[in-house]
Amino acid sequence: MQPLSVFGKSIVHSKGGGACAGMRCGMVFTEIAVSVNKKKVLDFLNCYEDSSLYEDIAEEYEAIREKVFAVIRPRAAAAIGEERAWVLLTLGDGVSELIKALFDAGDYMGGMLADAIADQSLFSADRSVAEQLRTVCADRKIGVVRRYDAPGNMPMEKQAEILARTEGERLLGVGITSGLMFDPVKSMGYILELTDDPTIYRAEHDCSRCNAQNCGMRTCAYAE
Amino acid sequence: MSITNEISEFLQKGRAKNVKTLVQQALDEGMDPKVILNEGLLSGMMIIGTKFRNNEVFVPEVLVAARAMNMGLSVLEPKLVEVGNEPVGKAVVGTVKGDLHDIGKNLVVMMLKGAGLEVYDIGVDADAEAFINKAEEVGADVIGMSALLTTTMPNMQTVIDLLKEKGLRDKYIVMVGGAPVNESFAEQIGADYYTSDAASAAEVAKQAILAKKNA
Ligand code: B12
Repeated sequence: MQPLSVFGKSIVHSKGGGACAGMRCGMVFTEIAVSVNKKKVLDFLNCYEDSSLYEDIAEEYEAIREKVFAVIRPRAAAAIGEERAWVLLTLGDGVSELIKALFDAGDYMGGMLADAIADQSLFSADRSVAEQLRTVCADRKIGVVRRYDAPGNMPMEKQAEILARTEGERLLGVGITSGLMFDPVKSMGYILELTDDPTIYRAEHDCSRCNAQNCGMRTCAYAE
Repeated sequence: MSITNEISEFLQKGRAKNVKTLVQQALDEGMDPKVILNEGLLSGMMIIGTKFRNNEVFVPEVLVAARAMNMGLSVLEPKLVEVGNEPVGKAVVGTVKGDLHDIGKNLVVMMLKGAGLEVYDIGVDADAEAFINKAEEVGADVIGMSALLTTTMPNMQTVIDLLKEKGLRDKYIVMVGGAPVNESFAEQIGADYYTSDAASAAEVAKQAILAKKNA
């Protein structure tokens, strides 16, 4: 049966019966809001307001952002089990092709901008999916205690488990490399530890529990 | 100011259109394309590379300079072919099998080109055969490998092992890099050079090629 999807609700593909039987359930999200923060993108490229290049690059940012937004196709799949949920999201491979084309043409600034905008879009899609999952969990009267990302707080091998559980290959066209990276590169996956307590919801990445010490995206110190 | 100096200055400021126009003007004035390349474009890129290594400029300055160089080269390249200009050397660069992180690799490609090398980018998720076959095909001097994951770093060793197996190890200068890679890992797998950034990679590659050619 083909997966259906509705904004914010994101319905069910089920193996057995018609609808989602009991707790076990899979779903696809296709309406994923994405927004990017210009300052974050330019900061990531070490381009600050006092730079003589700032104005030109800020202008270029707008043009490249439009190009990126025209080719990204944010979609996600999730599978909810008894104790865990597996989530996979991707922007599709159109954006990788755009970035490669810019670099190949010698437009290195355009390529870097497109890459950084795509990364920020992926993180934004991640927050958007986490919000939609909040509704799904509330409906089921379950909560989320903790999120696991590889290799921060779970091994990379788990990326293969995420792909299998979410049926990401069939539903999203995502593959996995021998190094356990999802392909397309602008994809991410994680596992959620569930609880019966619906008041708890911690499905966003938590830097304080991630041991990727030198990550450029870190928002607070590692606390474990 | 000489026209090559002007090209170099505009290139350092990332003014691609000016660079392109001046390269065309220099050609129209009958200047040797090799002089335009070496004293204009490559000299400008070398200055930017040095400034970057000394923290005097940052990534954006290098990106726009390299883009300007590329614009200049688009005009100059057909003339360089006509006069039979030989590049400093040839390099095959890619991200190793299993790994799709490509930004670092792309910047290494950019800086190697900026140092006057002919670069063959074999992309991401490249297996040992892909590196070696390309290197053999184009007669490369350098094989450059990038890896960003601890799970894919061992694939650098696989390339080196296959080079040895084929009796080709000494034919190539093997360079490795990427965030989790370091000097001692490079030594452990038997690579020739590790550098932590693309500007140094270009400088080291150039020196190593010259040293090997003069040996
Ligand atoms: C941007 C980024 C991404 C982007 C991809 C960008 C891209 N297209 O390449 C996105 C967001 C998609 C991504 C995803 C992931 N990433 Co990532 N990523 C990064 C990050 C933040 C920066 C990498 C980067 O582009 N840096 C900028 C470039 C310019 O730097 P660089 O690559 O180091 O290259 C420079 C030098 O190293 C050197 N160099 C590079 N190559 C070579 C080659 C030679 C020959 C030489 C001489 C020099 C050289 O020169 C370059 C230029 O100066 C790093 C963190 C970090 N600190 O590096 C993590 C990092 C590499 N990622 C990591 C991981 C684990 C992932 C994920 C698996 C995480 C997850 N659970 O989702 C996912 C994979 C998603 C998937 N598809 O499966 C880990 C790897 C950990 C490890 N040790 O194994 C890192 C280190 C983050 C961390 N600390 O956890 N990632």
